[in-house]
Amino acid sequence: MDFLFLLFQAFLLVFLGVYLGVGIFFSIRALQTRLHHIIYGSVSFTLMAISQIIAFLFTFPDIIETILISIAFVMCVIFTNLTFHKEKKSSLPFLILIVTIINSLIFFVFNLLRDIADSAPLYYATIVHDFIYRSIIFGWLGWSSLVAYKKIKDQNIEPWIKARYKIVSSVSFLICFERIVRIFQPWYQEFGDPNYLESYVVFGIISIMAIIFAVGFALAWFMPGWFKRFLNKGYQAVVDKEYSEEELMDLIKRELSNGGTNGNN
Amino acid sequence: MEIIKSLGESLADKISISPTAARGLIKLSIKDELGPFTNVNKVNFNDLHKTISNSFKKRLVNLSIQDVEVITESMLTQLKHIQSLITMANV
Repeated sequence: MDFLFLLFQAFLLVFLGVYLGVGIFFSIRALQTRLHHIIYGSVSFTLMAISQIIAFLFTFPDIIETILISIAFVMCVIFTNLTFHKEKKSSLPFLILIVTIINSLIFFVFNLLRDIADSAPLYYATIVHDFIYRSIIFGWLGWSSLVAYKKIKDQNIEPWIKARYKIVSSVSFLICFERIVRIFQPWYQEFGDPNYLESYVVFGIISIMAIIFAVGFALAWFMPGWFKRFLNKGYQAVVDKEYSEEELMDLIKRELSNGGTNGNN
Repeated sequence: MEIIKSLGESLADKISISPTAARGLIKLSIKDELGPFTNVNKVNFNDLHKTISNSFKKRLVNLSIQDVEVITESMLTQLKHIQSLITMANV
Protein backbone atom coordinates (compact mmCIF):
# COMPACT_ATOMS: atom_id res chain seq x y z
CA MET A 1 0.00 0.00 0.00
CA ASP A 2 2.77 2.44 0.99
CA PHE A 3 4.86 1.58 -2.03
CA LEU A 4 1.87 2.05 -4.35
CA PHE A 5 1.04 5.36 -2.74
CA LEU A 6 4.59 6.59 -3.27
CA LEU A 7 4.53 5.32 -6.83
CA PHE A 8 1.29 7.20 -7.57
CA GLN A 9 2.77 10.33 -6.03
CA ALA A 10 5.89 9.87 -8.16
CA PHE A 11 3.70 9.60 -11.28
CA LEU A 12 2.04 12.90 -10.42
CA LEU A 13 5.41 14.53 -9.80
CA VAL A 14 6.66 13.34 -13.19
CA PHE A 15 3.46 14.72 -14.74
CA LEU A 16 4.08 18.14 -13.17
CA GLY A 17 7.76 17.98 -14.10
CA VAL A 18 6.86 17.35 -17.74
CA TYR A 19 4.45 20.29 -17.78
CA LEU A 20 7.12 22.53 -16.28
CA GLY A 21 9.80 21.15 -18.59
CA VAL A 22 7.71 21.64 -21.73
CA GLY A 23 6.83 25.15 -20.56
CA ILE A 24 10.51 26.09 -20.16
CA PHE A 25 11.44 24.28 -23.38
CA PHE A 26 8.83 26.28 -25.32
CA SER A 27 10.29 29.56 -24.01
CA ILE A 28 13.75 28.58 -25.18
CA ARG A 29 12.46 27.44 -28.58
CA ALA A 30 10.42 30.64 -28.98
CA LEU A 31 13.63 32.63 -28.68
CA GLN A 32 15.61 30.31 -30.95
CA THR A 33 13.01 29.96 -33.71
CA ARG A 34 11.17 33.31 -33.83
CA LEU A 35 7.92 31.39 -33.23
CA HIS A 36 6.73 33.91 -30.67
CA HIS A 37 3.25 32.44 -30.36
CA ILE A 38 4.60 29.39 -28.55
CA ILE A 39 5.25 31.69 -25.58
CA TYR A 40 1.51 31.28 -24.87
CA GLY A 41 2.04 27.53 -24.70
CA SER A 42 5.04 28.10 -22.48
CA VAL A 43 3.10 30.30 -20.03
CA SER A 44 0.19 27.87 -20.08
CA PHE A 45 2.15 24.70 -19.31
CA THR A 46 4.39 26.45 -16.77
CA LEU A 47 1.39 27.87 -14.90
CA MET A 48 -0.39 24.50 -14.93
CA ALA A 49 2.65 22.99 -13.21
CA ILE A 50 3.24 25.89 -10.82
CA SER A 51 -0.40 25.99 -9.70
CA GLN A 52 -0.25 22.32 -8.73
CA ILE A 53 3.19 22.58 -7.13
CA ILE A 54 1.98 25.51 -5.01
CA ALA A 55 -1.09 23.53 -3.96
CA PHE A 56 1.09 20.51 -3.19
CA LEU A 57 3.82 22.22 -1.20
CA PHE A 58 2.27 25.28 0.43
CA THR A 59 -0.95 26.21 2.18
CA PHE A 60 -1.92 29.03 -0.15
CA PRO A 61 -5.63 29.81 -0.50
CA ASP A 62 -7.22 27.59 -3.19
CA ILE A 63 -8.30 30.70 -5.03
CA ILE A 64 -4.69 31.40 -6.08
CA GLU A 65 -4.52 27.95 -7.67
CA THR A 66 -7.87 28.63 -9.38
CA ILE A 67 -6.64 31.93 -10.83
CA LEU A 68 -3.38 30.40 -12.09
CA ILE A 69 -5.21 27.48 -13.72
CA SER A 70 -7.72 29.83 -15.36
CA ILE A 71 -4.91 31.92 -16.86
CA ALA A 72 -3.13 28.75 -17.97
CA PHE A 73 -6.23 27.44 -19.74
CA VAL A 74 -6.90 30.71 -21.57
CA MET A 75 -3.24 30.74 -22.68
CA CYS A 76 -3.57 27.15 -23.89
CA VAL A 77 -6.51 28.10 -26.13
CA ILE A 78 -4.59 31.11 -27.51
CA PHE A 79 -1.64 28.79 -28.21
CA THR A 80 -3.92 26.34 -30.05
CA ASN A 81 -5.54 29.13 -32.05
CA LEU A 82 -2.24 30.69 -33.09
CA THR A 83 -0.67 27.33 -33.96
CA PHE A 84 -3.52 25.81 -35.95
CA HIS A 85 -6.10 28.47 -36.83
CA LYS A 86 -4.41 31.79 -37.56
CA GLU A 87 -6.32 33.91 -40.11
CA LYS A 88 -8.81 31.17 -40.91
CA LYS A 89 -12.27 32.33 -41.88
CA SER A 90 -14.02 30.22 -39.23
CA SER A 91 -15.18 32.03 -36.09
CA LEU A 92 -14.89 28.82 -34.04
CA PRO A 93 -11.41 29.59 -32.60
CA PHE A 94 -12.64 32.96 -31.31
CA LEU A 95 -15.80 31.36 -29.96
CA ILE A 96 -13.77 28.71 -28.10
CA LEU A 97 -11.67 31.48 -26.57
CA ILE A 98 -14.76 33.36 -25.38
CA VAL A 99 -16.31 30.17 -23.99
CA THR A 100 -13.06 29.44 -22.17
CA ILE A 101 -12.97 32.90 -20.60
CA ILE A 102 -16.61 32.54 -19.49
CA ASN A 103 -15.87 29.07 -18.13
CA SER A 104 -12.87 30.46 -16.25
CA LEU A 105 -15.20 32.85 -14.45
CA ILE A 106 -17.66 30.04 -13.64
CA PHE A 107 -14.75 27.88 -12.44
CA PHE A 108 -13.64 30.75 -10.21
CA VAL A 109 -17.15 31.20 -8.75
CA PHE A 110 -17.57 27.47 -8.12
CA ASN A 111 -14.28 27.26 -6.26
CA LEU A 112 -15.05 30.41 -4.30
CA LEU A 113 -18.41 28.96 -3.22
CA ARG A 114 -16.76 25.69 -2.23
CA ASP A 115 -14.33 27.62 -0.06
CA ILE A 116 -17.25 29.27 1.72
CA ALA A 117 -19.62 26.31 2.12
CA ASP A 118 -18.74 22.96 0.56
CA SER A 119 -21.50 20.44 -0.07
CA ALA A 120 -22.09 17.33 -2.16
CA PRO A 121 -24.20 19.04 -4.89
CA LEU A 122 -21.66 21.86 -5.15
CA TYR A 123 -18.77 19.38 -5.31
CA TYR A 124 -20.37 17.35 -8.12
CA ALA A 125 -21.46 20.47 -9.99
CA THR A 126 -17.86 21.71 -9.82
CA ILE A 127 -16.49 18.38 -11.07
CA VAL A 128 -18.96 18.20 -13.97
CA HIS A 129 -18.22 21.79 -14.93
CA ASP A 130 -14.51 21.17 -14.61
CA PHE A 131 -14.82 18.18 -16.94
CA ILE A 132 -16.63 20.28 -19.57
CA TYR A 133 -14.17 23.16 -19.10
CA ARG A 134 -11.08 20.96 -19.53
CA SER A 135 -12.65 19.01 -22.38
CA ILE A 136 -13.15 22.21 -24.34
CA ILE A 137 -9.53 23.29 -23.84
CA PHE A 138 -7.71 19.99 -24.32
CA GLY A 139 -10.34 18.65 -26.73
CA TRP A 140 -9.76 21.74 -28.88
CA LEU A 141 -6.01 21.14 -28.89
CA GLY A 142 -6.50 17.43 -29.62
CA TRP A 143 -9.10 18.01 -32.32
CA SER A 144 -7.03 20.78 -33.98
CA SER A 145 -4.00 18.51 -34.04
CA LEU A 146 -6.02 15.61 -35.45
CA VAL A 147 -7.58 17.71 -38.24
CA ALA A 148 -4.17 19.21 -39.13
CA TYR A 149 -2.66 15.71 -39.18
CA LYS A 150 -5.33 14.52 -41.63
CA LYS A 151 -4.38 17.38 -43.96
CA ILE A 152 -0.69 16.41 -44.08
CA LYS A 153 -0.79 12.65 -43.59
CA ASP A 154 -0.50 11.85 -47.31
CA GLN A 155 2.20 14.44 -47.95
CA ASN A 156 5.90 13.80 -48.08
CA ILE A 157 6.51 15.06 -44.55
CA GLU A 158 9.04 13.55 -42.14
CA PRO A 159 7.33 10.75 -40.16
CA TRP A 160 8.43 12.12 -36.77
CA ILE A 161 6.43 15.29 -37.44
CA LYS A 162 3.34 13.27 -38.33
CA ALA A 163 3.87 11.27 -35.12
CA ARG A 164 4.02 14.50 -33.12
CA TYR A 165 0.56 15.47 -34.38
CA LYS A 166 -0.84 12.06 -33.46
CA ILE A 167 0.69 11.99 -30.00
CA VAL A 168 -0.39 15.56 -29.15
CA SER A 169 -3.90 14.69 -30.28
CA SER A 170 -4.08 11.40 -28.35
CA VAL A 171 -2.74 12.70 -25.04
CA SER A 172 -4.92 15.82 -25.24
CA PHE A 173 -8.05 13.68 -25.58
CA LEU A 174 -6.82 11.41 -22.78
CA ILE A 175 -6.40 14.27 -20.31
CA CYS A 176 -10.01 15.37 -20.93
CA PHE A 177 -11.20 12.23 -19.17
CA GLU A 178 -9.19 12.76 -16.01
CA ARG A 179 -12.07 14.74 -14.50
CA ILE A 180 -14.61 11.98 -15.17
CA VAL A 181 -12.67 9.77 -12.76
CA ARG A 182 -12.93 12.51 -10.13
CA ILE A 183 -16.71 12.01 -10.06
CA PHE A 184 -16.06 8.76 -8.17
CA GLN A 185 -14.07 10.58 -5.51
CA PRO A 186 -16.34 10.92 -2.42
CA TRP A 187 -16.72 14.64 -1.82
CA TYR A 188 -16.16 14.46 1.94
CA GLN A 189 -12.89 12.52 1.67
CA GLU A 190 -9.42 13.93 1.14
CA PHE A 191 -8.23 13.26 -2.43
CA GLY A 192 -5.68 10.44 -2.46
CA ASP A 193 -6.09 9.56 1.21
CA PRO A 194 -4.84 5.94 1.46
CA ASN A 195 -7.14 5.34 4.43
CA TYR A 196 -10.20 5.43 2.16
CA LEU A 197 -10.39 2.84 -0.60
CA GLU A 198 -12.49 4.89 -3.11
CA SER A 199 -10.27 7.90 -2.72
CA TYR A 200 -7.17 5.79 -3.06
CA VAL A 201 -8.41 4.03 -6.22
CA VAL A 202 -9.39 7.35 -7.83
CA PHE A 203 -5.95 8.73 -6.94
CA GLY A 204 -4.31 5.67 -8.48
CA ILE A 205 -6.28 5.83 -11.73
CA ILE A 206 -5.62 9.55 -12.10
CA SER A 207 -1.91 9.00 -11.41
CA ILE A 208 -1.73 6.32 -14.10
CA MET A 209 -3.53 8.58 -16.58
CA ALA A 210 -1.14 11.38 -15.62
CA ILE A 211 1.96 9.27 -16.26
CA ILE A 212 0.64 8.12 -19.66
CA PHE A 213 -0.06 11.75 -20.51
CA ALA A 214 3.37 12.83 -19.24
CA VAL A 215 5.26 10.22 -21.27
CA GLY A 216 3.27 11.07 -24.43
CA PHE A 217 3.56 14.82 -23.94
CA ALA A 218 7.29 14.58 -23.25
CA LEU A 219 7.91 12.35 -26.27
CA ALA A 220 5.84 14.63 -28.51
CA TRP A 221 7.53 17.89 -27.57
CA PHE A 222 11.04 16.91 -26.47
CA MET A 223 11.20 14.28 -29.25
CA PRO A 224 14.65 12.81 -28.49
CA GLY A 225 16.99 12.15 -31.41
CA TRP A 226 16.79 8.35 -31.10
CA PHE A 227 12.99 8.52 -31.24
CA LYS A 228 13.08 10.76 -34.34
CA ARG A 229 15.51 8.36 -36.03
CA PHE A 230 13.29 5.42 -35.10
CA LEU A 231 10.20 7.12 -36.57
CA ASN A 232 12.09 8.29 -39.66
CA LYS A 233 13.44 4.80 -40.41
CA GLY A 234 13.29 4.23 -44.17
CA TYR A 235 12.37 7.83 -44.91
CA GLN A 236 14.28 9.45 -47.77
CA ALA A 237 14.89 13.12 -46.91
CA VAL A 238 14.55 15.66 -49.72
CA VAL A 239 17.84 17.44 -50.35
CA ASP A 240 17.73 20.29 -52.85
CA LYS A 241 20.70 21.06 -55.06
CA GLU A 242 22.06 24.54 -54.39
CA TYR A 243 21.28 26.88 -57.30
CA SER A 244 22.21 30.50 -57.84
CA GLU A 245 19.25 32.79 -58.55
CA GLU A 246 20.12 32.88 -62.28
CA GLU A 247 20.43 29.11 -62.51
CA LEU A 248 17.13 28.62 -60.72
CA MET A 249 15.26 31.16 -62.84
CA ASP A 250 16.71 29.55 -65.99
CA LEU A 251 15.54 26.16 -64.77
CA ILE A 252 12.01 27.45 -64.07
CA LYS A 253 11.79 29.23 -67.44
CA ARG A 254 13.06 26.14 -69.22
CA GLU A 255 10.52 23.93 -67.47
CA LEU A 256 7.72 26.39 -68.20
CA SER A 257 8.69 26.70 -71.87
CA ASN A 258 8.79 22.90 -72.18
CA GLY A 259 5.13 22.95 -71.35
CA GLY A 260 6.01 22.26 -67.76
CA THR A 261 7.68 19.28 -66.29
CA ASN A 262 6.45 17.78 -63.13
CA GLY A 263 9.17 15.40 -62.26
CA ASN A 264 10.32 14.07 -58.98
CA ASN A 265 12.52 15.83 -56.48
CA MET B 1 11.70 23.27 -43.96
CA GLU B 2 8.60 21.10 -44.19
CA ILE B 3 6.16 23.90 -44.92
CA ILE B 4 8.21 25.07 -47.92
CA LYS B 5 8.39 21.49 -49.12
CA SER B 6 4.63 21.14 -48.85
CA LEU B 7 3.87 24.51 -50.46
CA GLY B 8 6.45 23.72 -53.15
CA GLU B 9 4.74 20.48 -54.07
CA SER B 10 1.43 22.24 -54.29
CA LEU B 11 2.91 24.99 -56.50
CA ALA B 12 4.65 22.43 -58.69
CA ASP B 13 1.26 20.85 -59.40
CA LYS B 14 -0.35 24.19 -60.14
CA ILE B 15 2.15 25.56 -62.65
CA SER B 16 3.61 22.29 -63.87
CA ILE B 17 7.23 22.69 -62.84
CA SER B 18 9.37 20.33 -60.80
CA PRO B 19 9.04 20.43 -56.98
CA THR B 20 12.73 21.43 -56.78
CA ALA B 21 12.11 24.48 -58.97
CA ALA B 22 8.92 25.32 -57.08
CA ARG B 23 10.67 25.17 -53.70
CA GLY B 24 13.46 27.31 -55.13
CA LEU B 25 10.96 29.89 -56.33
CA ILE B 26 9.38 30.10 -52.87
CA LYS B 27 12.81 30.43 -51.22
CA LEU B 28 13.80 33.20 -53.64
CA SER B 29 10.55 35.01 -52.90
CA ILE B 30 11.24 34.79 -49.15
CA LYS B 31 14.65 36.39 -49.68
CA ASP B 32 13.09 39.09 -51.88
CA GLU B 33 10.56 39.85 -49.18
CA LEU B 34 12.62 39.52 -46.01
CA GLY B 35 16.15 40.23 -47.19
CA PRO B 36 18.96 38.21 -48.76
CA PHE B 37 20.38 37.00 -45.44
CA THR B 38 17.10 35.58 -44.15
CA ASN B 39 17.30 31.99 -43.00
CA VAL B 40 14.47 30.42 -44.99
CA ASN B 41 14.24 27.66 -42.39
CA LYS B 42 13.30 30.16 -39.69
CA VAL B 43 10.31 31.89 -41.23
CA ASN B 44 7.01 32.10 -39.40
CA PHE B 45 3.41 32.27 -40.57
CA ASN B 46 3.40 36.07 -40.99
CA ASP B 47 6.62 35.98 -43.02
CA LEU B 48 5.21 33.36 -45.38
CA HIS B 49 1.84 35.10 -45.68
CA LYS B 50 3.55 38.38 -46.57
CA THR B 51 5.91 36.62 -48.98
CA ILE B 52 3.14 34.86 -50.91
CA SER B 53 1.00 38.00 -51.06
CA ASN B 54 3.82 40.22 -52.34
CA SER B 55 7.15 39.01 -53.72
CA PHE B 56 5.96 35.54 -54.72
CA LYS B 57 3.09 37.06 -56.66
CA LYS B 58 5.50 39.45 -58.41
CA ARG B 59 7.78 36.56 -59.37
CA LEU B 60 4.82 34.74 -60.93
CA VAL B 61 3.85 37.86 -62.89
CA ASN B 62 7.44 38.28 -64.12
CA LEU B 63 7.41 34.66 -65.28
CA SER B 64 4.21 35.41 -67.25
CA ILE B 65 2.28 32.74 -65.40
CA GLN B 66 -1.46 32.78 -66.04
CA ASP B 67 -4.06 33.11 -63.27
CA VAL B 68 -1.61 34.63 -60.81
CA GLU B 69 -4.42 35.82 -58.52
CA VAL B 70 -5.98 32.36 -58.36
CA ILE B 71 -2.63 30.67 -57.70
CA THR B 72 -1.70 33.19 -55.01
CA GLU B 73 -5.05 32.84 -53.26
CA SER B 74 -4.82 29.08 -53.43
CA MET B 75 -1.30 29.16 -51.93
CA LEU B 76 -2.52 31.41 -49.10
CA THR B 77 -5.40 29.02 -48.41
CA GLN B 78 -2.96 26.11 -48.44
CA LEU B 79 -0.70 28.00 -46.01
CA LYS B 80 -3.61 28.52 -43.61
CA HIS B 81 -4.52 24.82 -43.77
CA ILE B 82 -1.03 23.55 -43.01
CA GLN B 83 0.22 26.44 -40.86
CA SER B 84 0.73 24.17 -37.87
CA LEU B 85 3.63 22.51 -39.72
CA ILE B 86 5.69 25.62 -38.95
CA THR B 87 5.32 24.95 -35.22
CA MET B 88 5.20 21.17 -35.28
CA ALA B 89 8.37 20.89 -37.36
CA ASN B 90 10.37 23.55 -35.54
CA VAL B 91 9.68 23.30 -31.83
